[in-house]
Order: sequence, then C-alpha cells, then structure tokens
Amino acid sequence: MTDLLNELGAAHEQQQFGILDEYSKREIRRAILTAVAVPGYQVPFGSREMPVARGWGSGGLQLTLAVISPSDVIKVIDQGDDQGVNAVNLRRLIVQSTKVPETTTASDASIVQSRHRIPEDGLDEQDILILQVPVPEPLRGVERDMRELSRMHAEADYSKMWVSLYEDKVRNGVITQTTGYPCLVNDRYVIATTPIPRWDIPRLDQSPFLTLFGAGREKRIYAVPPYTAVTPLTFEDVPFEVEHTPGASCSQCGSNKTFLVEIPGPTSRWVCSDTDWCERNSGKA
Amino acid sequence: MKFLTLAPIDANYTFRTMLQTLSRPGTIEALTLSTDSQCIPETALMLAVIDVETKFAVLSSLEEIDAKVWARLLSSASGAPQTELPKAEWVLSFGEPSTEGLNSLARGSAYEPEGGCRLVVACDKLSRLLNDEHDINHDINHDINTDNSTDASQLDASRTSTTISLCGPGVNGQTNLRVEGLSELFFSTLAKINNSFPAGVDVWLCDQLGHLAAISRSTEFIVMRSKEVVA
Amino acid sequence: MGYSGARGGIDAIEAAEKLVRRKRLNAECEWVSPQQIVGRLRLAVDRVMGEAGIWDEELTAIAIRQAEGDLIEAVHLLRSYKSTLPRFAYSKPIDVDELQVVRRIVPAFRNPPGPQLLGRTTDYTGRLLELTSEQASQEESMLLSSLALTEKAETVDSIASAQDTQPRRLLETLREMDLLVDRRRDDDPEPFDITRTPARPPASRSARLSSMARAETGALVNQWYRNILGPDGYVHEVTLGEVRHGYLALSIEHPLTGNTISIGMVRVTEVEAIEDLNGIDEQRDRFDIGYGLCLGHNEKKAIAMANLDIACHRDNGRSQLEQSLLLTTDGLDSSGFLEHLKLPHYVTFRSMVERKLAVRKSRTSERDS
Repeated sequence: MTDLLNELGAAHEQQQFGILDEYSKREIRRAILTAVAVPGYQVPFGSREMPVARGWGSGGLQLTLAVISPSDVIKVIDQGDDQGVNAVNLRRLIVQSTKVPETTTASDASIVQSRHRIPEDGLDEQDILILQVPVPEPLRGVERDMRELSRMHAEADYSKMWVSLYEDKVRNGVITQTTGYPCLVNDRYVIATTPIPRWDIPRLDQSPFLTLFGAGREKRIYAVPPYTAVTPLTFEDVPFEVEHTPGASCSQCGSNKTFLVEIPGPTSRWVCSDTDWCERNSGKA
Repeated sequence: MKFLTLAPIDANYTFRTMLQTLSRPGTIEALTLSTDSQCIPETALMLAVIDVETKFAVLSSLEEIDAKVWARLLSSASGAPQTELPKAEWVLSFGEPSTEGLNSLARGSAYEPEGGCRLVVACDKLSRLLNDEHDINHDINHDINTDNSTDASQLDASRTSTTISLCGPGVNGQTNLRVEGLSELFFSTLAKINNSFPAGVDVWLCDQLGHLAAISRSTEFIVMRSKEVVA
Repeated sequence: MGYSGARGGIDAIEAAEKLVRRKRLNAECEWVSPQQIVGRLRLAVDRVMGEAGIWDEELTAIAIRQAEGDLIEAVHLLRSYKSTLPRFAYSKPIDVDELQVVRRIVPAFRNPPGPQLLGRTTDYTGRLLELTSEQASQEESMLLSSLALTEKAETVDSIASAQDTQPRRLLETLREMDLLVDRRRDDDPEPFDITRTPARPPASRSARLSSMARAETGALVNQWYRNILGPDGYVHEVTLGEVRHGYLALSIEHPLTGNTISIGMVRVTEVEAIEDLNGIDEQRDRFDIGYGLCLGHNEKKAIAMANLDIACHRDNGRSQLEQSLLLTTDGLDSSGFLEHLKLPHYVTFRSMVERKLAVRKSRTSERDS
C-alpha cells in the first residue's frame, strides 16, 4: 500500500511557502475575506492542527501563515513582549518556514502577531495586526447553548449581554469586565476583543490598520477593518474605564502613558508591558 | 491561452491585494504577476482563492469572450467545480453582468453570511476623482447622461462609466471611485442586493490595466454621476 | 531567566529543548524501536491512530516514542503532521458488511447467526498482575516465537470460511423479526468533513459520528458515563447487538486510469447497539440502532460511540448532549486549552487587580456618600 500511495502522492507535491499547504491557505484566505466583508462576524473555518497546541496561538499562526508574503516583516509578541517564550517559539516557526525577516520594532513590521496586546504605536495603513484569540464568543458568560448564541448574533439580539453588564454595575458599583471587553463593531456585531486590556480598545476604533482575530481551537476568524467603529458596551452614564493606577510610571523609561504591569514586592514597581516601546522610550529619556 | 497557471507566490500577492482592497473599499491597487504565472489579472483573482472545495461560475457580456472557454480553463487550473450561477460561491464576469444574473447570485443570510457570493467583474478602467465637483479627466462642459458633445474626449466616447461615492468600514470618511465599463444599473442593483446586511455580495472590480478595487457588502455607496453610451 | 520580560527567551527555550532531547534520546536504558511499540503496546498504538484519524502503525509508534508516552501529545504530533500532507483522493465508500472479523460477539443473543468469536480479548481473564521474573517471561516469549514458526499464525487468510469471517449482521435478523424502526434513507447526502468545516449543533449524523470517531477515548467514555449515571442523565444504556474487530479493505479510483484499485487494509472496531424505545413520541413496540466505528482495536470507544449516537438521535436537540459531544470531546482542544493556562497571563491579571481595587473604591465612596 505504501509504495502506491507514495507514488500517487509524489504527483501532488507542491512548492510550499510555509507549513500550511496551498489548499489550507486558500480556505483560510477565503474565511479572512468573509470576515472583512462582515466586520465582527465569527466566520467558521477548517482550522488545521498546527505545531503549536490548541489554545497556544494555533489560530493566530494560521492567519499569519495564510497572509504572510516574502516582502513582509514580522513581529510577534506575547503580553507586549517580543521575548516572551511563546512569542519566541511562534516567531521561530514562522521565520524558519517562510524565511520572512523579523523585527521587534513595531513601525518596521508589516505584520504583527500578538497575544493579548496591541503595540502602543507603530501600526499604520499598510500593516496587519493578527490577534490570538482563546475564546471568540463574547456572549459565553451569558449563554451556553450554541444554537441560541447563533441566533443572538444573527438577530443582533444582545439584550442578555446588556442585562449582565447592568447587573454587574449594580452589584459591584463598577463594570468589572477586565480584559477582552465586549465591543460593538460597525454598529452591528458584538465581539470578544480577545484578552487585550481595556487600555488598547480605543486604538481599535477607526484604526488605520486591519485587525484579524484568529481562534484556532474554536475554529473561528473575525476582523475589524480599518476605519471602522468599535465601541465598548457601556451605559450613557457609566464611562468606559481603562486600567490606570494613579502615580504609577515605568521604572525603566518613566512613562505613565502606556499600559503598565506590576512587579510585586514590598514596594510596587511598574514597567511597560510593550517592551519594544519601552526600550525606544528609554533611549530617548 | 491554452492553459492558465498561477504560481503560489502570485496567489499570495494576489490575495493580499484582494484583502487590501476589500479592507479599504474604493482604494485602487495594482496587481502584478511574475513570469511564473500565465493568466490575465481577472483570472488571477479567481485562481488565488478557488480550489476543489469551491463552486464557481463564469459570465460574459462581451462578444469576444466565451464564458464557457474560460470556465474550463479555470476549472482545470484549480480543480474547482463549475456550477449554475445561484449556487456559485465565486463568480467571474467579463463585462457587466445582467441584472437578472446579479439578482440570482447567492446572498447568504444572517445565520450564514459566508453563503454570500463573491463576484469579480472585469471592467475597462478604474480611477479616482480628486474631488466630487468635477472629473479632472473631463471637460467641465460635459453633460451628465448625454454624449452629444462634438468635442467629447475620444477616450470616453465609447465608454459607459459610473462614479460612485463610498463610505463605511474601511473608508476613511468618504471616497470616490470611477468605473468605466459598468453602468448605473449595475451599481443600483448591487446596492439593493446589499440592503440586508450581513447577507450580500462582495465585489472586486478589475480593469484592463490590472488595477483592482473592491466594494464590500458592508459598504454604503451612491451613484454620483454616470454616462451611458447609446449606440 | 527568560520566561517573559527579560532578554533570553530563545535561550530559555533552547535550553529546555536540549534537556528534553537529551533525556529522551539518552535515557539510561535500551533503545525502543517502533516495532517494539507496535508489537508490545498495540492497544496504545491503536488508540492513538483512532484519535489522530490516521492509519499508520509505525508512524504512530514513532509519535508515541517522541511524546514519551503522553498519548494526547502523540496524537498532536500525528495530526499536525497530517496538516502538511496533501489530500489527493477519497476512498470509495466501504460496505462494512465486508469487514473480515477476527473477533465478534453478540451479547443480545446466545446463538446469533454466525459465530460468537471471542478472539483476542482479556474480557474473561482475571486481572492478575503477572509477576514472573523478567528472565522467565523472555524465555516463554522465545519459546512461543519458535512454536509460531511451525504453527499457522492467526491471519485473515487462515480463517476458515467467508461466513465465519463476514458473519451476517444481527441487524438483518432483527429486521426479519420486524423488531426495528426503519431509518434507512433513499438519498445519499455528502458526508460532513469535520477536518474542513467545524461542526456545530444542529449537526448531521455524519458530523457527530466522525467527531466521535476521533474523540479522545477517556472523554467519550466519560461523556457516556455522566449521561448514564451522572448529573446530566440523558442517556440510557443499550443492549449490544454487534461488537466486531476486524479488517476493512480500502480502494480508490486511480487518478489517471479511473480504475478501482485496492490500496490496502485498515483494522477497525465496530459496534451496533440496540436501543429500547420508550418515549412518548417513539415507536414503543420497536427497537432502534446506534452505530460506532473507530480505527484500531478500541472497544470502549466504539461502544460509547454507538450508545451516544442513538442517544443523540433520540434527544433531537432537546438537551445540549450534541453540543457536548461535538465540542468537548476532542483531546487536542481540551488539553491544549487547559495547558494554555501555563502561558503568561500577567496583562489579564493586572487588569483584574485593577478592577478589584475599583470595586473597593466604589464601595468606599458609596459608604462615604
């Protein structure tokens, strides 16, 4: 059996640019086009098993591999850090299989694959941001049945979400949604903004760059085209709050205008989560 | 052409151009293919995305283009199965499709937006206007909807053209697109089809110089001016 | 250290990889060949083939060895390898009546048509840990090898008659006895391909069956159990009609000549389960049938599959049983997502701490006002 199959298989060998074969790439590309045409809609796609585990960026990786071309420059970050071990692994996989040049400088990159952050700056009209998504369904907390979820999105019936936000505010005094804050895209679909912090959400609204969201395990792709309205769900009298700790500033570059993360200890220290931005800013300081 | 071929590297770049134009409706991008590929630009758009799992169809309203021939070429190059128009996921139209044809295209539904057909239309020429007051290529004395001026630019004498103004996702404010080779009827029909978002049809326009522009089903557009040639 | 935030992420990874590789390849023991794994751990190989959805014993053995015995990890290696392979043909539909059995039992009857063939099973052997010395075991092994050279090995060819190797299905007998609901279709719908389109409820039967065929064995057994005796309780246990283990021949249409050619055989486990119908809207004077089929010898999986197949059909969307089966039984999805918790989550955590403080602040200001 093996010889015959090898013989037949040899006729189908294709020149590959990357780990994905040409059929898989087309499938993903078609799904991307649908996602861009219907901003915020979760497009189902035949998610392939990747060398990284489900939940570890297989969706983001598939998007990058389907989109990337020899004239791109790739940046990969995790929590804003180019040196995060998972980012390193993903970048290594991408570069080894595609030979595309890599960078840590956001403004030099044409494609940024990221887990949980949008770079503080550097993305413009020619760039594509690819976000890794663990759970693409924003209504997961208020509805478990998938058939009902499908109806809610199809009919733009987000009432359960609104009720839940209202109850949250009443019970806790503030809306306690942390990262992945639910947002309305193009006045139509509510999306899960992956676990990016609330800090990053304003940068999605009317952005000059295209953002693609890839959920490999759940097999969904969605998109926010450039210059598209992205509004966090909140009430008229409840302003949308980003993460901000008064008095905190980066102990490396001094910034208090970027998303900071804490180094715990007897006295708190803070650092920029976006390590590339921080380094460049330290240089200036 | 005896056969068509699109090298993987060109499929890659073609897709990127399709993505760029769909993400920014109304923007015009140039499509360039390497010498490894043998196909005209409008077929490159199809070959970049169709394969054994996508049903497609080909239309032609141009006398010199036989849709059946091109459908066969596309099918053997991609392995994609041909089908009737209402079942096609991807459609290539040489010249303006008939209103009947346009209306029969699959639109998907709110439960299945991905069922909406994607249409590639080969037109004559794509261009932008600097502003919406006048067309820089035209003499300001030209009338809308008539072609009776004796010093009409020869370039435009035989061309139907429509200018649309677009806004919506991907458009920074508002932009214009002038399409030679497509009439107002095409655009008004398309607008009606795309009236029930998220169902709808997404369109790529490809001109004879290999320029590409796209109109997403999420795009809002109105016809600003049009010129019909009455033979 | 380069977990995150400091330079040296790549150094940390490469150090980890070197360590794994060194310990794996240079363990203080003898080398293990793929043949040994196939020969001595066949049920692990069969289980992994079934979950990977790939038929290749040697490749599977290599994956198990590389994964150091983590079977879900081995499945991942095989499935991502599969992602790199072009799909160039589909096999012709197989009539499972052509299954050549090496084991076949029918619990529903004492004397069904065709044999009750226990075959290779430990079902009726006491679970006693054999503590014979390593030397004695190996001597016995060598003795048996030399006997096997003079004896006919149990192969498909050596089994007596066609009637024994391809016994008539109990299903046929039950139909003749007019005991079954007839759910046979006239049409021939395209099977759902879960590797190309994600399946979501409401799904076709082929989508459910193929999802279960590739499901993680423990997950499927657990789904069965919690639906029988656990909190969900949507499923009633069946009576088994057929439990079969045997060989199926595969053939394809040659891409150039168009002729049908045989490309070999796969070994599968197949189960037909008889379900007692007792619902208000059901034909309570009849039975219905559930079906299970998976690659390799994996009886618990095929039995769970058959029971859950008929349960899903009877449930008809009333509960979320179908959703559980389609979406929570894949080993790669579940363990991948679980283990992703080990990834850095400090951006999320910072955001959570900030909200905690915001809640406190809001309470304080409420108290004060």
